[in-house]
Amino acid sequence: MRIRLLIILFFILTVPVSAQHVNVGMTFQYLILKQVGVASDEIIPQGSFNYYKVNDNRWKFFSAGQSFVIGTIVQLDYKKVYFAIEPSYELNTYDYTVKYPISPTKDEKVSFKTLYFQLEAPVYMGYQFASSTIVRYSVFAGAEPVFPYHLQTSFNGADKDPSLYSRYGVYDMRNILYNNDRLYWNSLLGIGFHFASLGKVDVRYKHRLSSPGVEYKATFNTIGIALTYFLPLNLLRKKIYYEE
Amino acid sequence: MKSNPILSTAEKKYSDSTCYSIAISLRSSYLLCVLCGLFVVSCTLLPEDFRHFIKGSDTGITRRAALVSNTPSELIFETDLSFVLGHSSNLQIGYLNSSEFSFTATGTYSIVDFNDVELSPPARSSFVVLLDQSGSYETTDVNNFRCKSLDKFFHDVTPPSEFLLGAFAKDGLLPSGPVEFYTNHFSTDAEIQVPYLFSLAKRTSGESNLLDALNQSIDKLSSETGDRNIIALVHGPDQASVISSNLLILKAMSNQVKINIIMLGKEEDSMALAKVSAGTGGLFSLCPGTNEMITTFNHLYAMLNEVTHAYRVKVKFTPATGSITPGMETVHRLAVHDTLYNYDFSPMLVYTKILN
Repeated sequence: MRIRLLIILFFILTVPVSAQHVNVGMTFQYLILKQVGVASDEIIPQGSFNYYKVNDNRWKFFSAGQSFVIGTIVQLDYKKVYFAIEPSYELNTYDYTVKYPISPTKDEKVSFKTLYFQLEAPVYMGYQFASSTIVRYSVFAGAEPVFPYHLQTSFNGADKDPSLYSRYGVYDMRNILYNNDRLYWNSLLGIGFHFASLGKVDVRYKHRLSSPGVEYKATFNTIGIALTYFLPLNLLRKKIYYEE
Repeated sequence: MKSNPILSTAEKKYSDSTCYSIAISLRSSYLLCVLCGLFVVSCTLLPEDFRHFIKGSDTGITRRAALVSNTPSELIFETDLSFVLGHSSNLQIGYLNSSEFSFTATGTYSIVDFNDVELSPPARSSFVVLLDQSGSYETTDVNNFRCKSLDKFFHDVTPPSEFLLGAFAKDGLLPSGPVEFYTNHFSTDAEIQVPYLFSLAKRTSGESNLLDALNQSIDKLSSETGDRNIIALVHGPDQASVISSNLLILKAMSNQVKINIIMLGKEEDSMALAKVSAGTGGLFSLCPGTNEMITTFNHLYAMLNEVTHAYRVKVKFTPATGSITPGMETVHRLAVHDTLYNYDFSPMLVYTKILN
């Protein structure tokens, strides 16, 4: 872990030497297409005497959770390649529904929700292609260390029955959908559309690299849109150069 | 900075700059320690939890019932009764007094003796645990608390005690044979059978063949050493068994098997069940609702395998009409009111039979 961080730090510190441009800006992201999957047919929680059937591991719009990200970006352009780091704050929710067996004809659906407040610093490298004077396209890939600092868990049922809380445990998905780790890693892939040096719009895919639990392997995948606005630092510098 | 007591003290003690630097570095160390402490504390996102069971309601359980003596006009019986808390798996209620106990039937009752006793556990127990799969639990257990309750019991069992799970119903979704056992051997591994246990919720139907299931379970226990127990969670009377209750009781007695019955259902359906448990020395818990069932299973292993408190009550019963004849069977209904918390326990049943 420490070595990985050092490599990334070294990478960031050495690149500006040969960078053509340093872009600094802000990014806003909204990730709404999510998939939470547990690699098992059933879940037996360690914190209670419940039992759940795994119901649905599919990709979902909104109903598997959402993420809101606001952050800063430092992007170093070198010819067609660029490197970026985005120190950000993320409000990250997941929603995962399982079934509890009631009778031969009836199951009760229980939706477990996790809410993370987290800091993250995605670091990625992009390659620009099909460039013109105004617009460029790029693909990018990287890694994202995530530092959750607050976690809330809850659950509800289909009929919002208040007695649900006496029947199921709020910590039933502990070490399955979440754990107490202060750091986890995501991989990051995306396609970007750059508009001059003013900003970019990208579609990005995140995949959590480690499962919160050991007994039940859980995967988390997220797709969303990012809007990035760069401060006009390069334009400002050029203007001063021409005045001289 | 002057308001900081550590720094202020340092400033007074050390006037020269070297000493002052030392004081500053001490202060930095102090702050560093505080920050490290905060970091260590903040390393946990959520508090550690433990395996918890759902809450039930305070419940009374008939541990034992026996006839002491009888004449043509009256009989004296003795019963052991335990009362357990719904919100705790450890505490038992030991503050009740005899005035809070009231028996009801067609006759008069008087409590002739009332004592606190400690019931000693056996060194080792073998349990066959039977789940009634007949009919439907749509009205008695709409949220399937029974599987959780049984799971709690299985997790409570510790070696050298062991258990065997079975389910019974006739002409339902279970295969033929009075009992479908999870395995052929007794075990102490509660985890491995959890999927099977909860899958039983999807296979309820048919008629109750409780007595035949108990009969087969006695055979299973006959080769086991230690205390032999059957625990049957039922929700209605027997409907389709071949063996009679009298024969079954004799067989259980000859094999030293206690039949403990937890009845989730109506009092009027419980008379024959109370007879089977009393006849074999087992406990009987009448659970009008799931809360009583939850509490019973929460405490069940402790009641059968640990030192537990009970009230030993000796009662004289005089029937309102007729005389007491050999072979007469009576089920006495007991209501207990906790005056301390103004709480009525669910009714308890005490079965007695006059010897022939």
